Amino acid sequence: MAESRLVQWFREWRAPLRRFLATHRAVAPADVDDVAQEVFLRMLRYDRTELVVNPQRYLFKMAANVAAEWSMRSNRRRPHASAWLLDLVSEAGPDSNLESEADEANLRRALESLPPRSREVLRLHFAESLNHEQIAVRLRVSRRVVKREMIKAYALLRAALADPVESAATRRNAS
Amino acid sequence: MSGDVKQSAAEWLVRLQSGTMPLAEREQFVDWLRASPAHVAEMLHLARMHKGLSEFSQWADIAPEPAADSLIESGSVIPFPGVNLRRSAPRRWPGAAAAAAVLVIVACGVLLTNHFGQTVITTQVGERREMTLAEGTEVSIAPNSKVRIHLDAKQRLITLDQGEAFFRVSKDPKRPFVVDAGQTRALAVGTSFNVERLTDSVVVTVVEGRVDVGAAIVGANEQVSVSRTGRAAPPRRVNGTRETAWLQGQLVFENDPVAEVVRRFNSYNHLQVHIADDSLAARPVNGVFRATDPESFIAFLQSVAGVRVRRTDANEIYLYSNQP
Repeated sequence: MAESRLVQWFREWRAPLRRFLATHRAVAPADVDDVAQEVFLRMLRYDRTELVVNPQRYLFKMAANVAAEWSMRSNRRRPHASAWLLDLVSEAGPDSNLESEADEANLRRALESLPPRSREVLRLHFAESLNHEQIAVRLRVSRRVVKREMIKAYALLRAALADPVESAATRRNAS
Repeated sequence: MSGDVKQSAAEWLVRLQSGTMPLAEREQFVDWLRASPAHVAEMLHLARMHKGLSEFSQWADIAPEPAADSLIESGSVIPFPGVNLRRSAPRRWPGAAAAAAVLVIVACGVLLTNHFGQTVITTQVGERREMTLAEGTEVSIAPNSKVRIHLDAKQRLITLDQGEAFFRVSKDPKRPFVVDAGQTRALAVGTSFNVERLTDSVVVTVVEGRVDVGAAIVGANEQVSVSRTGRAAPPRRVNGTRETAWLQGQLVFENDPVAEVVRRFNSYNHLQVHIADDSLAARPVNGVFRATDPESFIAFLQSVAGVRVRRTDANEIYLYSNQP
């Protein structure tokens, strides 16, 4: 296996994914769930045989389009803000430092709330850029187990990020 | 959102990351996404989190876990409070609602097909589509239109077979952006403009920048109408934003004949309006209307023009002049 899947994954879908990730923030009322609603409808209308060719690519492309349309619309409504919005739409716009700092802090808190094993597989994957196979070797387990751990780690981290207060509270109560 | 959705989405993410998926799995993934907006949302949230993780700058502060080295296959799962972590047999990849989804496609009837490297987009009555092309150009397509998109290294060619579309072109001096509307080709570099294909002419309206239509160069807030023979009157000054009000779901009329106004409304609505006499058809109209609200236009006509209305069924309306 060549370089880490992570790198490959991002290379393949970087453009649409990044465009989506860069844009949706710029759109005040359009939070990810709103974008998802619209993407969902488009996916239903889209030809299934077309979608299955590369589902993930279509998913992020549609999301990028929807997010861009939202900023396009707000662009028209607020001509003065147009330059600022266009900046954000074009490629990865400059995140405001404040925002990314807050994101980092949230992520860190969420990571720290994870069970050690989950945290560790994520750390090996993202910090040490190990792929599943390499993680399996490092931890002396099968690839299946690594996959299972990764899945669990993602799901737990998403839960912790989605509702940090509740997760933290229930965690305290449980311990 | 239930933990189950998060779990499934995470499963898909790991699947996606571990290489090429066989067709059957990709089908299951599509069906899962099309089963619920919550699935799509979770997938997008997850992608965002994934990006956050790969850009996270404080990994150095997250200590390696020596204990994790002894991760045992059958080891107990540390229960995470607040999340229902049922340990189940390896789950089947969620695949449901395929049949329902197929029905919806038929009902909605958007055609987006790919022939010979070009994308074909067809919109139906009442349907508007907006999209961003790979190179960043934004395209809005009016109802009842057909657009073919062909991008290659040398040029960006859009063919407007029918209807109307608006383009906000991203700058790329090496690849001219050309809209072919039959008798007229509009060439643009980094501008916003609208092309409408009528029965015997093509109307090009420029909002920003300049567009070369062959017969004339059209500047910002100018409009040109090119006839079937390729002849064009000199560009006239217009309010570009007003002329492209359809992008906001509005129809703006300035001394346009009722026949034209009705044609516009009919392309946006299932309710079809017919004009029963010629004098009414030719009468000029001014006003701004919501494209999806033909009833208010009819009410307006009744109040200012003495028009009689006959409904034949829920979706058909005939308009008559009151004058003898």
